[in-house]
Amino acid sequence: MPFVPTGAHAGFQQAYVRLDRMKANTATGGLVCAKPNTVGTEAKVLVTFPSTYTLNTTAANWTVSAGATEIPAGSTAWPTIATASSADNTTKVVTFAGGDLTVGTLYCFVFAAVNTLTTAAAAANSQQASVQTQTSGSAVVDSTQIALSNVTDDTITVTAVVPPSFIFALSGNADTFAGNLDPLNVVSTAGVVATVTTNAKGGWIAWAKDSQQGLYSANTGYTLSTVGTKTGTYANGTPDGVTSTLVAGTEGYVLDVDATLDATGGCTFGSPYGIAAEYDGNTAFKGGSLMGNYQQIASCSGTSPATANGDQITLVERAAISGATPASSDYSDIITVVGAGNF
Amino acid sequence: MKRLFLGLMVLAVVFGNVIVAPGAFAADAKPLTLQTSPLPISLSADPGKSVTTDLRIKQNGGDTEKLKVSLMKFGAYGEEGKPVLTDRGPADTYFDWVKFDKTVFDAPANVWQTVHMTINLPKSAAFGYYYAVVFSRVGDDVRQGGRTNSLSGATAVLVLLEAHNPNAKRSLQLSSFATEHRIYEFLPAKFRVKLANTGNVHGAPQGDIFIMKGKKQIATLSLNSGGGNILPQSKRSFPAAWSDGFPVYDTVQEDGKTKLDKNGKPVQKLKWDWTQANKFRFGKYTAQLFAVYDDGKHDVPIEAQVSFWVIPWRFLLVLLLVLTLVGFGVYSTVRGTVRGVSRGTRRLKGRR
Repeated sequence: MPFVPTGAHAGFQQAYVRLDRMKANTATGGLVCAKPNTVGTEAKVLVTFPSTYTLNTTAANWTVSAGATEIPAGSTAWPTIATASSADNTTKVVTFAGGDLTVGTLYCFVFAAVNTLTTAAAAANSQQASVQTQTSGSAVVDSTQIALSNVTDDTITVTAVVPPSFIFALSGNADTFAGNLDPLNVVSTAGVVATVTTNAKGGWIAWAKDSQQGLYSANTGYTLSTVGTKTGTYANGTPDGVTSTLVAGTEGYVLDVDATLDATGGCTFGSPYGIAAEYDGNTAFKGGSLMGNYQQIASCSGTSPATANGDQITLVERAAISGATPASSDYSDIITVVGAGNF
Repeated sequence: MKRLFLGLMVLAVVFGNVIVAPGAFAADAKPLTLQTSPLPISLSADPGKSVTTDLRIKQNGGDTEKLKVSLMKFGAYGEEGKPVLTDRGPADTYFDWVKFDKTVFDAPANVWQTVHMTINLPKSAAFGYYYAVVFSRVGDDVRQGGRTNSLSGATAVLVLLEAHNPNAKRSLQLSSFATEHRIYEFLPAKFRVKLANTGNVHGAPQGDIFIMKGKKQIATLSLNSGGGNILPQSKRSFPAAWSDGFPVYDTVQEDGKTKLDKNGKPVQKLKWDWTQANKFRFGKYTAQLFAVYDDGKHDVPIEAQVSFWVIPWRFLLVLLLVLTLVGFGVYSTVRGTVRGVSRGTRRLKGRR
């Protein structure tokens, strides 16, 4: 049978002190946790720090708390834990009053970081410390030796670069009319979606130009011309900034641009930005002139930083023919769409 | 037999051009995603010298794509200074100064490619030149055929080049400083600063708009914090908005996107954040613009101010109505009490 001296005490089932900072010579607060092993009526907890540490001896500075967000999940707030009653820089012992503990329960509390504890002057490992509970008569209930370490630097500086970037995506490079062109109806293509993502602070712009300002048939040599009022020619002029309305039975061909998604944050499609008035068709018959030079079809701007996180516009071509439009199966067009971050 | 065969061939050709099965020409729409970096590039150099810059491009499709580089120019036009992209003109010999280390290249998916751009300035170069380096996929700008249009997507990196010259004139002038409305019911109050570049090189103004109530500064709005440039002989508008109020109109967001109305414009909704109730705005305010630009020697100030009112008239009408009703209620109560007391007094007198 082992010899057990009178007054001998057992260690906690678990005990630890986790300081907020491990860096040497740094002011810190900390977390104290212990799981009692011995039945007793605890009335205080004594934390002994390593001899290399410096304790502020103003006990009132050693305030404590044990809120749910401050102690680890699964632990219990140390009952009636109170601001330290003493803090001795000679013995390195801080004494906190606390309530009776139940064996097998992990109790925790945190102590303040301001004007309380300063870690060792130099980095060192395995510096001895202890946690001890006592009764009101200062009889030890549980006591466990622990080790604390300090390092030269306990922080990692993380640096990263977010480069300026502009992403322009087209959902496809082909846009097919829903059906054969028909003198009784205005026919539209399925549409192609352009998506813009950019951290350009000045927003973005999109332009479009057309290869021959109309739907061209090589078989017949005929061009179903675009329509709309303009200055100069469709090849290199300037449209009037007003949408044109197609009428079934009358030849015409236009580009309609719709704001499909104004992603949250950053730039907005609000006036005077957004879809260019020339192309802002709001019915299935409206659109703007398909010019041979680049025309702004949409832009997104606003108070800087006017970034865009997936703004989308949809490009739809609409065409109407007359009864006399030459028949052919090869009417088609080439539209070039360019996007850029604003200067 | 030979005649029958020829007849069938003729029929096949004729009907082949007339009868088109639905969807027969539905083309394979190949998506394209291009990412470029950096964004607008500002370069400067002495005439007779060279200047270089790296342009980075990445395509995010699944397959390796063949991309091409082409050169265009950009400018600004109109009262708002709208950016315009233009093909090379007959007099644009400065296009010949530009060399790329590659103009057509294979771009594997999600791998950055670097294109080295060198501009060799002749000794005659002076002031500003504005290039747009355009990246696109080879083969997208070819005709697809029947019933299908081709859409060729491209991204442009804008390059602003200044050729140093002692006669460079950097001059910005205020064209207008205005509020969207003179009277607002609720914030935001929106401002527009329009500046004209009357010089011969681009310039970027920066500054603040101070919102004052009497002599007290209420808010500070940043002007052109993004460093946007104004091209020579053009104008540009810079927006600013003061939205630090209660209540305030806010853009409606749904499922991570801005809600748009049927005209594609953002839908606005009045937001009542009672924690901001101390920012209830009412009365006359003054917006003071203080901006500067660098004329090459020192900062030149641009100052202006505009006044506007915030009058939450509907809110005040409701408040007035409530106060009227309360006043009427108090009046009725007091009147009833007084009448009751009078009747009681008369009854007492009658009994006597």
